[in-house]
Order: sequence, then structure tokens, then C-alpha cells
Amino acid sequence: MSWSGYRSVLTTAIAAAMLAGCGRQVAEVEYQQRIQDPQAAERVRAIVEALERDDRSALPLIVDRLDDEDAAVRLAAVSALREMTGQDFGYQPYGPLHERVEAVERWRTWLKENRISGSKTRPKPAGPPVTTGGSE
Amino acid sequence: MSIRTESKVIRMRIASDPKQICVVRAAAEAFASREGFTGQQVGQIGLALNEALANVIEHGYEGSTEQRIDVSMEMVVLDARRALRLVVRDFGRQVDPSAIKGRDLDDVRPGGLGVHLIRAAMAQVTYRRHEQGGMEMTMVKFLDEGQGSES
Amino acid sequence: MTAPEGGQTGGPVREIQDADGTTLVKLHGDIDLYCSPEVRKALLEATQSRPATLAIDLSKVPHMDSSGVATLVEALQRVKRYKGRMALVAMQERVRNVFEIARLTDLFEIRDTLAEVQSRGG
Repeated sequence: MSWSGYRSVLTTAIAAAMLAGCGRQVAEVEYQQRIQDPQAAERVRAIVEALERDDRSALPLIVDRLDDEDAAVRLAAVSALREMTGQDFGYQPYGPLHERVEAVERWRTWLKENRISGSKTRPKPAGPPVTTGGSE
Repeated sequence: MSIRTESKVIRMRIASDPKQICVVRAAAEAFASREGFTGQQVGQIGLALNEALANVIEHGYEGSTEQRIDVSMEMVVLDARRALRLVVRDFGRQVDPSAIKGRDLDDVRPGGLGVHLIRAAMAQVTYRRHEQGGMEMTMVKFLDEGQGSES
Repeated sequence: MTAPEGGQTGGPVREIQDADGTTLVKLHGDIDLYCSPEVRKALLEATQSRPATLAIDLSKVPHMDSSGVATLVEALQRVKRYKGRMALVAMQERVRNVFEIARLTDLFEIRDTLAEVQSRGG
């Protein structure tokens, strides 16, 4: 292989490696974005994925889901938090609202005390903001 | 749209206790079964009502188990099609229309699993603020939906 | 509401068996907001020993709502945490319909029989 050919292959390989790195970042942002997806099923899936990845940068996003309007999402969130941190601060996903609010505050305090602020590339919500405490 | 009610109406008043959900659901399923809905349709009706009641308890009453919920079920003829109409009435928090930001009242919780299940199970789902307080949710399922493709 | 079999008044979890690294949990009756707390507790206990495979028999469950689905998601998360395997077995059509509408079918391993779970061992 000529030197120019070698350089071409090397350049392609470097470009591919860089793209692969960018791809991983994009994938991480993409799945974290789904934690805030308008559809509850997607939020559940993304939380399960965060647990599988053991992605501690997603902890703030998962704590946000403790305020989710959907109980199934709240349960998935506290379950993931419990598995990843070993605690749940008494949060009950189907419990009365005022008790949940208190427990969420304990979680937020814990995040601050442990200086966990999420990934540097904080994803924007994928769709309309999920309302919390909405009543019918 | 034309609507005509038939004579049979079942009304139930329960406390907002999750234990009572299965009682109401059983009644609705028995009623639907007797009116000729298929097994699959009966399951869908029960599921929708189950989710609707759970929603009221959780969101309308914030988990309180001592509040009032009224449920009615009747057969109607809607645009010449027989249908089951379920109405769930609560006396809890009303939705502030300004907080909905342009969405329809029946779209107050678009992403919730429960509401998603209700919409998939029932042909029509509407919410309205009741003038006397609380909310009223109406769900309709047509008897002839999917006929011929169900067991 | 489904009456318990044989007039029994037992709860929704009737049997937990352990064999060859597989823990089988058999659920009975409706799994909903009222019943789910007991199911949650039972699944929690079943996962504490970290079985290689947790199989949940749903053949006697005619109804499940979103809270029941959520309970199973929670169990799945516990099992995934220690890299175990969880399978839902013999789901009735109505219940399968709930998972499909909720679009969470592909989150779970779903099998028709326990034998299938064991033959495709993880």
C-alpha cells in the first residue's frame, strides 16, 4: 500500500473512531432524553436502560421522575434509584402526594450533598413538559 | 350526533378506596357481558374503568380513601350504534383550564400509562369540569367494535 | 373480580418454588392497585436470593392494570441489576393485551410455558 493510501485508511479509521465516540455521546443524550419523553412507556424504558448502564449521571433525571404524573413511571424511578444508590428515603410511588413531595425533597438534598448534577450535556425534554400533580 | 338512552342504568357510589375498584369493575364487566360484549371487549371495559378509578383516587383525591366517587353504566344508542356508556364522577380537584395550555380537557394526561390504556380500550373518552365541582369522565364503547375479529 | 380457586381466600401469590437456579412465582387473581402491594412484596422476597432466573407464572391472572405492570417492571429492574433473567410465563390474552397497549411487551421476556424458559436458559 502506498503512503497516500495508508494515510487515507488511517484518516478513515480515525474519523470512524471519532464518530464512534460521538455516537456514544449521542446515544447517551438520546436515551437520557427519553427519560423525559411525553409517553410514559418510553420514560419507563429509558429508566430501565439507565439502571442497566449504571449511569449515575442520569440520577438527577430519574429523581425528577419521582414527581411524574404516572405512577408506573414513579415506581420505575424509585426502583432504579434504590438499586443504584441503596436507598429510597421512604418514597412511596403510590403514597399520598404530600408524603411524596417530602421524600423528593430528601432526594434532591442528597443529590446536592453528593454533588450529583447530571451529565454535562443535559438533554432537552423530547416533547411537551410532563405536568406534575395534574388533577382531573 | 344523535343519542338515545335505553332504560337500564346502573349507578354505584363508592368511597375512593382502591379495594372498591375491583367491585365496580366486576359489576361493569358483568353488565357488559350480559349486553353482548365479547370476552375481549369486556376485559377492555374493565381495564378502562379500573384505570379511570385509579386515576381519580390518585389525582383527584391525592390518595385519600374516604372521598365520594359516582359511577354509572348504561346502554345507549349513539348515531344508530349500541354502546356502553360509563361515567365516572368525582368531587375532587378540578383541572384549571389555564394550566392545560391549549390542550383539550380530554388530553390532560397524554403520557400516562393509565390514560393510554383507557384510550386504547374505549372508543370515546371525554373529561369535563362539573359545574358543581370535581370532574366527570365519560367513556363509550360500541358493541359492534371489531366484531368478527374477536374470540 | 375473579373469585379465588376452590373458594379459598388466599392472596394473589400462591406459590414460590426454587429449583435449579430458577425461582418460579405463581400469581393468582387480579393484579391491580389493591393486590399489587402483596405482589410487590412477594417479588421482592423472591429476588433477594438473586435467582439466576425468575419466572412469573401468570396463567391464573385474568386481569392486570398499569400498577400490576409497574410492579413487574420493578422486579425486572431488580433482576437486571444483578444480571439475572426474568420471564413472564403463560400470560392470558387479556393481560398480554395490556402489555401490548402499554407498549412494554419488548421490555420483558415472555414465554408460553416454563419449559420454554428453562430450555432457553440464560
